[in-house]
Amino acid sequence: MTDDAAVTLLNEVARVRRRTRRDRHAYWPPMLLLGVLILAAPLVYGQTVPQPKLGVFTAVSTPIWRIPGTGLAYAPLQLFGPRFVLVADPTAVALYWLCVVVLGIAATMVWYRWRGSRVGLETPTRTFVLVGIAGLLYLLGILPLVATAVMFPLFGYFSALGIWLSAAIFVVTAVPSALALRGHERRPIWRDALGWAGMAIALLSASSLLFYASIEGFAPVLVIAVALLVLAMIERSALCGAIAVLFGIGALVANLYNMENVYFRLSGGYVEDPRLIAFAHLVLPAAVLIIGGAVAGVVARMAKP
Amino acid sequence: MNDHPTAGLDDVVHQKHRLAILTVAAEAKRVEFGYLQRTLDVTKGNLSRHITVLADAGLLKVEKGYDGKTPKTWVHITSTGRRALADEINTLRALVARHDQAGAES
Repeated sequence: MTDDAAVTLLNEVARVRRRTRRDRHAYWPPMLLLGVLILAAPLVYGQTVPQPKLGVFTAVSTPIWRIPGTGLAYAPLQLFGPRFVLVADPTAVALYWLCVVVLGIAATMVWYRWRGSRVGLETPTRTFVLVGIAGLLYLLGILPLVATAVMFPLFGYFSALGIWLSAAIFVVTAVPSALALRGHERRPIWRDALGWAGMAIALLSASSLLFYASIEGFAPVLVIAVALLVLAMIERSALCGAIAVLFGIGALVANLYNMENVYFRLSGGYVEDPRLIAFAHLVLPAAVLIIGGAVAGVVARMAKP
Repeated sequence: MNDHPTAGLDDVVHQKHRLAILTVAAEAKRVEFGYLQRTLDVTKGNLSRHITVLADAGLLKVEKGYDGKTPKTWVHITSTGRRALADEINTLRALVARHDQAGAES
Protein backbone atom coordinates (compact mmCIF):
# COMPACT_ATOMS: atom_id res chain seq x y z
CA MET A 1 0.00 0.00 0.00
CA THR A 2 1.32 3.45 -0.90
CA ASP A 3 1.59 6.25 1.64
CA ASP A 4 -0.67 8.43 -0.52
CA ALA A 5 -3.35 5.75 -0.34
CA ALA A 6 -3.00 5.67 3.45
CA VAL A 7 -3.40 9.46 3.63
CA THR A 8 -6.43 9.30 1.33
CA LEU A 9 -8.05 6.60 3.47
CA LEU A 10 -7.38 8.53 6.70
CA ASN A 11 -8.86 11.69 5.15
CA GLU A 12 -11.90 9.70 4.04
CA VAL A 13 -12.34 8.30 7.57
CA ALA A 14 -12.10 11.83 9.01
CA ARG A 15 -14.63 13.15 6.47
CA VAL A 16 -17.14 10.36 7.15
CA ARG A 17 -16.72 10.80 10.91
CA ARG A 18 -17.33 14.57 10.68
CA ARG A 19 -20.43 14.05 8.55
CA THR A 20 -21.81 11.36 10.87
CA ARG A 21 -21.32 13.54 13.94
CA ARG A 22 -22.92 16.49 12.19
CA ASP A 23 -25.95 14.37 11.26
CA ARG A 24 -26.16 12.80 14.71
CA HIS A 25 -25.87 15.96 16.84
CA ALA A 26 -29.27 16.76 18.29
CA TYR A 27 -28.58 18.38 21.63
CA TRP A 28 -29.90 21.86 20.99
CA PRO A 29 -33.67 21.21 21.48
CA PRO A 30 -33.16 19.60 24.94
CA MET A 31 -30.94 22.56 25.87
CA LEU A 32 -33.62 25.04 24.82
CA LEU A 33 -36.30 23.09 26.71
CA LEU A 34 -34.24 22.92 29.91
CA GLY A 35 -33.28 26.60 29.58
CA VAL A 36 -36.95 27.63 29.31
CA LEU A 37 -37.99 25.37 32.22
CA ILE A 38 -35.23 26.85 34.40
CA LEU A 39 -36.15 30.41 33.39
CA ALA A 40 -39.81 29.68 34.23
CA ALA A 41 -38.97 28.32 37.70
CA PRO A 42 -39.21 31.71 39.52
CA LEU A 43 -42.96 31.70 38.78
CA VAL A 44 -43.49 29.02 41.47
CA TYR A 45 -41.57 31.01 44.09
CA GLY A 46 -44.73 32.70 45.40
CA GLN A 47 -44.46 35.33 48.11
CA THR A 48 -45.37 34.56 51.73
CA VAL A 49 -48.08 36.65 53.35
CA PRO A 50 -47.24 38.47 55.55
CA GLN A 51 -43.59 39.08 54.70
CA PRO A 52 -40.99 38.30 57.38
CA LYS A 53 -39.05 41.19 58.88
CA LEU A 54 -35.76 42.09 57.20
CA GLY A 55 -32.78 40.51 58.87
CA VAL A 56 -34.79 37.58 60.24
CA PHE A 57 -32.86 34.45 59.25
CA THR A 58 -35.23 31.57 58.63
CA ALA A 59 -34.79 28.22 56.92
CA VAL A 60 -37.82 26.93 55.01
CA SER A 61 -38.85 23.33 54.73
CA THR A 62 -40.43 20.79 52.42
CA PRO A 63 -42.44 17.86 53.93
CA ILE A 64 -40.57 15.98 56.66
CA TRP A 65 -40.81 12.23 57.27
CA ARG A 66 -39.89 10.67 60.58
CA ILE A 67 -37.92 7.45 60.20
CA PRO A 68 -39.54 5.05 62.71
CA GLY A 69 -37.31 3.86 65.53
CA THR A 70 -34.43 6.19 64.69
CA GLY A 71 -35.74 9.57 65.75
CA LEU A 72 -34.41 10.93 62.45
CA ALA A 73 -36.34 13.57 60.53
CA TYR A 74 -35.86 13.10 56.80
CA ALA A 75 -36.96 15.59 54.12
CA PRO A 76 -36.71 13.78 50.75
CA LEU A 77 -37.50 16.92 48.75
CA GLN A 78 -35.14 19.10 50.77
CA LEU A 79 -32.56 19.43 47.98
CA PHE A 80 -35.28 20.29 45.46
CA GLY A 81 -36.83 23.04 47.55
CA PRO A 82 -35.69 26.54 48.54
CA ARG A 83 -33.15 26.73 51.36
CA PHE A 84 -33.25 30.32 52.62
CA VAL A 85 -35.69 32.06 50.29
CA LEU A 86 -39.05 32.33 52.03
CA VAL A 87 -41.79 31.21 49.68
CA ALA A 88 -45.49 30.56 50.15
CA ASP A 89 -45.27 26.89 49.20
CA PRO A 90 -41.81 25.21 49.41
CA THR A 91 -43.35 21.87 48.36
CA ALA A 92 -44.63 23.38 45.11
CA VAL A 93 -41.11 24.66 44.37
CA ALA A 94 -39.61 21.23 45.14
CA LEU A 95 -42.17 19.41 42.98
CA TYR A 96 -41.55 21.84 40.13
CA TRP A 97 -37.80 21.08 40.19
CA LEU A 98 -38.49 17.36 40.48
CA CYS A 99 -40.67 17.63 37.36
CA VAL A 100 -37.98 19.66 35.53
CA VAL A 101 -35.35 16.95 36.11
CA VAL A 102 -37.71 14.02 35.35
CA LEU A 103 -39.27 15.74 32.34
CA GLY A 104 -35.87 16.93 31.11
CA ILE A 105 -34.43 13.41 31.16
CA ALA A 106 -37.56 11.78 29.68
CA ALA A 107 -38.02 14.40 26.95
CA THR A 108 -34.35 14.21 25.98
CA MET A 109 -34.53 10.42 25.69
CA VAL A 110 -37.76 10.52 23.64
CA TRP A 111 -36.35 13.26 21.38
CA TYR A 112 -33.15 11.33 20.67
CA ARG A 113 -35.10 8.12 19.95
CA TRP A 114 -37.49 9.90 17.59
CA ARG A 115 -34.73 11.72 15.78
CA GLY A 116 -32.54 8.62 15.60
CA SER A 117 -35.27 6.67 13.87
CA ARG A 118 -35.99 9.60 11.51
CA VAL A 119 -32.37 10.25 10.49
CA GLY A 120 -31.19 6.64 10.66
CA LEU A 121 -28.53 7.27 13.30
CA GLU A 122 -29.21 6.44 16.93
CA THR A 123 -27.29 8.19 19.71
CA PRO A 124 -26.46 6.02 22.76
CA THR A 125 -28.34 7.97 25.46
CA ARG A 126 -28.29 5.23 28.12
CA THR A 127 -25.40 6.82 30.08
CA PHE A 128 -27.15 10.21 30.05
CA VAL A 129 -30.38 8.64 31.37
CA LEU A 130 -28.52 6.59 34.01
CA VAL A 131 -26.59 9.64 35.25
CA GLY A 132 -29.82 11.66 35.39
CA ILE A 133 -31.66 8.92 37.33
CA ALA A 134 -28.67 8.39 39.64
CA GLY A 135 -28.52 12.16 40.30
CA LEU A 136 -32.25 12.20 40.99
CA LEU A 137 -32.10 9.27 43.43
CA TYR A 138 -29.02 10.77 45.06
CA LEU A 139 -30.80 14.09 45.70
CA LEU A 140 -34.00 12.36 46.84
CA GLY A 141 -32.44 9.60 48.92
CA ILE A 142 -28.79 9.63 49.89
CA LEU A 143 -28.08 13.34 50.29
CA PRO A 144 -31.03 14.26 52.59
CA LEU A 145 -30.25 11.17 54.72
CA VAL A 146 -26.55 12.06 54.97
CA ALA A 147 -27.53 15.63 55.87
CA THR A 148 -29.94 14.50 58.57
CA ALA A 149 -27.98 11.61 60.04
CA VAL A 150 -24.40 12.88 59.79
CA MET A 151 -24.02 16.56 58.91
CA PHE A 152 -26.60 18.29 61.07
CA PRO A 153 -25.58 16.47 64.29
CA LEU A 154 -21.89 17.17 63.56
CA PHE A 155 -21.87 20.64 62.02
CA GLY A 156 -25.38 22.11 62.12
CA TYR A 157 -27.05 23.59 59.01
CA PHE A 158 -23.99 25.48 57.81
CA SER A 159 -20.40 25.35 58.99
CA ALA A 160 -17.12 26.56 57.49
CA LEU A 161 -15.36 23.87 59.55
CA GLY A 162 -17.70 21.30 58.00
CA ILE A 163 -16.72 22.39 54.49
CA TRP A 164 -12.96 22.22 55.13
CA LEU A 165 -13.20 18.98 57.05
CA SER A 166 -15.37 17.36 54.34
CA ALA A 167 -12.96 18.50 51.60
CA ALA A 168 -9.95 17.18 53.54
CA ILE A 169 -11.62 13.82 54.27
CA PHE A 170 -12.66 13.51 50.60
CA VAL A 171 -9.09 14.05 49.33
CA VAL A 172 -7.58 11.75 51.95
CA THR A 173 -10.03 8.90 51.29
CA ALA A 174 -10.99 9.12 47.60
CA VAL A 175 -7.54 8.94 46.02
CA PRO A 176 -6.09 6.02 48.07
CA SER A 177 -9.39 4.11 47.79
CA ALA A 178 -9.45 4.52 44.01
CA LEU A 179 -5.83 3.32 43.88
CA ALA A 180 -6.62 0.35 46.15
CA LEU A 181 -9.53 -0.74 43.93
CA ARG A 182 -7.70 -0.12 40.66
CA GLY A 183 -7.28 -2.90 38.11
CA HIS A 184 -9.08 -6.18 37.44
CA GLU A 185 -6.63 -8.57 39.10
CA ARG A 186 -7.64 -10.50 42.23
CA ARG A 187 -6.99 -8.49 45.37
CA PRO A 188 -6.64 -9.57 49.01
CA ILE A 189 -9.95 -9.27 50.91
CA TRP A 190 -8.53 -6.71 53.34
CA ARG A 191 -7.59 -4.45 50.42
CA ASP A 192 -11.09 -4.70 48.93
CA ALA A 193 -12.66 -4.02 52.33
CA LEU A 194 -10.44 -0.99 52.99
CA GLY A 195 -10.97 0.31 49.45
CA TRP A 196 -14.78 0.13 49.64
CA ALA A 197 -14.85 1.53 53.18
CA GLY A 198 -12.72 4.44 51.96
CA MET A 199 -15.08 4.94 49.01
CA ALA A 200 -18.09 5.03 51.36
CA ILE A 201 -16.40 7.71 53.51
CA ALA A 202 -15.42 9.62 50.35
CA LEU A 203 -19.07 9.50 49.20
CA LEU A 204 -20.21 10.79 52.60
CA SER A 205 -17.75 13.69 52.49
CA ALA A 206 -18.60 14.44 48.83
CA SER A 207 -22.30 14.47 49.82
CA SER A 208 -21.51 16.90 52.58
CA LEU A 209 -19.64 19.13 50.10
CA LEU A 210 -22.50 18.95 47.61
CA PHE A 211 -24.95 19.91 50.36
CA TYR A 212 -22.89 23.02 51.06
CA ALA A 213 -22.32 23.62 47.34
CA SER A 214 -26.09 23.95 46.87
CA ILE A 215 -26.51 26.27 49.85
CA GLU A 216 -28.58 28.77 47.84
CA GLY A 217 -31.08 25.99 47.09
CA PHE A 218 -30.76 25.13 43.40
CA ALA A 219 -29.24 21.62 43.57
CA PRO A 220 -31.38 20.29 40.66
CA VAL A 221 -29.54 22.73 38.37
CA LEU A 222 -26.29 21.00 39.39
CA VAL A 223 -27.77 17.60 38.43
CA ILE A 224 -28.76 19.05 35.04
CA ALA A 225 -25.20 20.40 34.65
CA VAL A 226 -23.68 16.95 35.26
CA ALA A 227 -26.19 15.33 32.86
CA LEU A 228 -25.32 17.91 30.16
CA LEU A 229 -21.59 17.24 30.59
CA VAL A 230 -22.33 13.54 30.03
CA LEU A 231 -24.43 14.46 26.98
CA ALA A 232 -21.49 16.46 25.59
CA MET A 233 -19.25 13.40 25.96
CA ILE A 234 -21.81 11.19 24.23
CA GLU A 235 -22.27 13.73 21.44
CA ARG A 236 -18.50 14.20 21.10
CA SER A 237 -19.19 17.85 20.36
CA ALA A 238 -16.87 20.70 21.35
CA LEU A 239 -19.71 23.25 21.16
CA CYS A 240 -21.99 21.10 23.34
CA GLY A 241 -19.08 20.64 25.76
CA ALA A 242 -18.42 24.41 25.90
CA ILE A 243 -22.12 25.16 26.57
CA ALA A 244 -22.25 22.41 29.25
CA VAL A 245 -19.13 23.81 31.00
CA LEU A 246 -20.52 27.39 30.91
CA PHE A 247 -23.83 26.11 32.24
CA GLY A 248 -21.95 24.21 34.98
CA ILE A 249 -20.23 27.47 36.01
CA GLY A 250 -23.59 29.27 35.98
CA ALA A 251 -25.13 26.45 38.06
CA LEU A 252 -22.33 26.70 40.63
CA VAL A 253 -22.67 30.49 40.84
CA ALA A 254 -26.46 30.13 41.28
CA ASN A 255 -25.90 27.66 44.12
CA LEU A 256 -22.93 29.26 45.87
CA TYR A 257 -23.37 33.01 45.56
CA ASN A 258 -26.14 35.10 47.02
CA MET A 259 -27.22 36.99 43.90
CA GLU A 260 -29.20 39.46 46.02
CA ASN A 261 -25.79 41.08 46.65
CA VAL A 262 -25.55 41.96 42.96
CA TYR A 263 -29.01 43.53 43.06
CA PHE A 264 -28.06 45.44 46.22
CA ARG A 265 -24.86 46.78 44.62
CA LEU A 266 -26.71 47.84 41.48
CA SER A 267 -29.75 49.43 43.09
CA GLY A 268 -28.86 49.94 46.74
CA GLY A 269 -32.10 48.22 47.76
CA TYR A 270 -33.15 44.82 49.03
CA VAL A 271 -35.07 42.28 46.97
CA GLU A 272 -38.13 41.10 48.84
CA ASP A 273 -40.04 39.19 46.20
CA PRO A 274 -38.83 35.55 46.19
CA ARG A 275 -39.62 35.35 42.46
CA LEU A 276 -37.06 38.10 41.83
CA ILE A 277 -34.53 36.40 44.12
CA ALA A 278 -34.97 33.09 42.24
CA PHE A 279 -34.80 34.91 38.90
CA ALA A 280 -31.53 36.62 39.91
CA HIS A 281 -30.03 33.20 40.69
CA LEU A 282 -31.36 31.35 37.64
CA VAL A 283 -31.10 33.89 34.86
CA LEU A 284 -27.41 33.14 34.16
CA PRO A 285 -27.64 29.33 33.75
CA ALA A 286 -30.96 29.64 31.89
CA ALA A 287 -29.50 32.24 29.52
CA VAL A 288 -26.48 29.99 28.82
CA LEU A 289 -28.79 27.15 27.78
CA ILE A 290 -31.21 29.28 25.76
CA ILE A 291 -28.53 31.27 23.93
CA GLY A 292 -26.22 28.22 23.61
CA GLY A 293 -29.08 26.04 22.35
CA ALA A 294 -30.14 28.70 19.83
CA VAL A 295 -26.55 29.12 18.57
CA ALA A 296 -26.14 25.32 18.30
CA GLY A 297 -29.44 25.14 16.37
CA VAL A 298 -28.27 27.80 13.90
CA VAL A 299 -24.88 26.06 13.52
CA ALA A 300 -26.67 22.74 12.87
CA ARG A 301 -28.89 24.32 10.19
CA MET A 302 -25.94 26.05 8.52
CA ALA A 303 -23.91 22.81 8.48
CA LYS A 304 -26.60 21.01 6.48
CA PRO A 305 -25.55 20.57 2.84
CA MET B 1 13.64 -5.92 13.24
CA ASN B 2 10.23 -4.16 13.32
CA ASP B 3 7.49 -5.35 10.98
CA HIS B 4 6.43 -2.93 8.25
CA PRO B 5 3.15 -1.22 9.31
CA THR B 6 1.31 -2.80 6.35
CA ALA B 7 1.64 -6.15 8.16
CA GLY B 8 -1.00 -4.83 10.58
CA LEU B 9 -3.60 -4.17 7.87
CA ASP B 10 -6.70 -6.37 8.03
CA ASP B 11 -8.09 -7.35 4.61
CA VAL B 12 -11.67 -7.34 5.91
CA VAL B 13 -11.43 -3.78 7.25
CA HIS B 14 -8.93 -2.41 4.77
CA GLN B 15 -11.40 -1.53 2.06
CA LYS B 16 -12.66 2.00 1.57
CA HIS B 17 -16.40 1.29 1.99
CA ARG B 18 -16.04 -1.24 4.78
CA LEU B 19 -13.78 1.15 6.68
CA ALA B 20 -16.38 3.89 6.20
CA ILE B 21 -19.21 1.59 7.40
CA LEU B 22 -17.26 0.79 10.58
CA THR B 23 -16.43 4.49 11.07
CA VAL B 24 -20.10 5.49 10.85
CA ALA B 25 -21.21 2.59 13.06
CA ALA B 26 -18.60 3.50 15.69
CA GLU B 27 -20.14 6.99 15.99
CA ALA B 28 -23.65 5.78 16.85
CA LYS B 29 -25.55 3.23 18.89
CA ARG B 30 -26.91 1.80 15.64
CA VAL B 31 -27.18 2.94 12.03
CA GLU B 32 -29.94 2.36 9.52
CA PHE B 33 -29.16 0.82 6.12
CA GLY B 34 -30.62 3.83 4.24
CA TYR B 35 -28.35 6.27 6.09
CA LEU B 36 -25.29 4.21 5.20
CA GLN B 37 -26.36 4.05 1.57
CA ARG B 38 -26.81 7.84 1.37
CA THR B 39 -23.54 8.57 3.19
CA LEU B 40 -21.41 6.12 1.23
CA ASP B 41 -23.21 6.69 -2.07
CA VAL B 42 -23.27 2.98 -3.00
CA THR B 43 -25.93 0.66 -4.43
CA LYS B 44 -28.09 -1.48 -2.12
CA GLY B 45 -26.51 -4.69 -3.39
CA ASN B 46 -22.99 -3.40 -2.92
CA LEU B 47 -23.73 -2.16 0.60
CA SER B 48 -25.40 -5.48 1.49
CA ARG B 49 -22.30 -7.40 0.41
CA HIS B 50 -19.98 -5.21 2.48
CA ILE B 51 -22.23 -5.49 5.54
CA THR B 52 -22.35 -9.29 5.14
CA VAL B 53 -18.55 -9.47 5.02
CA LEU B 54 -18.25 -7.35 8.19
CA ALA B 55 -21.04 -9.27 9.98
CA ASP B 56 -19.48 -12.65 9.05
CA ALA B 57 -16.18 -11.43 10.55
CA GLY B 58 -18.01 -10.53 13.79
CA LEU B 59 -17.33 -6.82 13.38
CA LEU B 60 -20.97 -5.78 12.93
CA LYS B 61 -24.33 -7.07 14.11
CA VAL B 62 -27.38 -6.77 11.89
CA GLU B 63 -30.93 -6.25 13.21
CA LYS B 64 -33.99 -6.39 10.99
CA GLY B 65 -37.27 -4.86 12.07
CA TYR B 66 -40.10 -2.51 11.13
CA ASP B 67 -40.70 1.19 11.56
CA GLY B 68 -44.51 1.13 11.31
CA LYS B 69 -45.02 -0.93 8.16
CA THR B 70 -41.66 -0.03 6.62
CA PRO B 71 -39.02 -2.76 6.91
CA LYS B 72 -35.74 -1.43 8.30
CA THR B 73 -32.26 -2.89 8.71
CA TRP B 74 -30.04 -1.55 11.46
CA VAL B 75 -26.38 -2.36 12.06
CA HIS B 76 -24.30 -1.81 15.16
CA ILE B 77 -20.60 -2.25 15.72
CA THR B 78 -19.30 -4.97 18.06
CA SER B 79 -16.40 -4.56 20.49
CA THR B 80 -14.28 -6.64 18.06
CA GLY B 81 -15.30 -4.21 15.32
CA ARG B 82 -14.24 -1.22 17.42
CA ARG B 83 -10.85 -2.82 18.07
CA ALA B 84 -10.41 -3.68 14.37
CA LEU B 85 -11.26 -0.09 13.38
CA ALA B 86 -8.84 1.36 15.94
CA ASP B 87 -6.09 -1.04 14.81
CA GLU B 88 -6.63 -0.15 11.15
CA ILE B 89 -6.48 3.60 11.83
CA ASN B 90 -3.37 3.19 13.99
CA THR B 91 -1.72 1.17 11.22
CA LEU B 92 -2.57 3.80 8.61
CA ARG B 93 -1.21 6.53 10.88
CA ALA B 94 1.97 4.53 11.45
CA LEU B 95 2.41 4.22 7.68
CA VAL B 96 2.03 7.95 7.18
CA ALA B 97 4.36 8.70 10.13
CA ARG B 98 6.98 6.33 8.68
CA HIS B 99 6.72 8.08 5.34
CA ASP B 100 7.05 11.52 6.98
CA GLN B 101 10.06 10.32 8.99
CA ALA B 102 11.74 8.93 5.86
CA GLY B 103 11.08 12.21 4.05
CA ALA B 104 12.62 14.22 6.90
CA GLU B 105 15.76 12.02 7.00
CA SER B 106 16.41 12.14 3.22
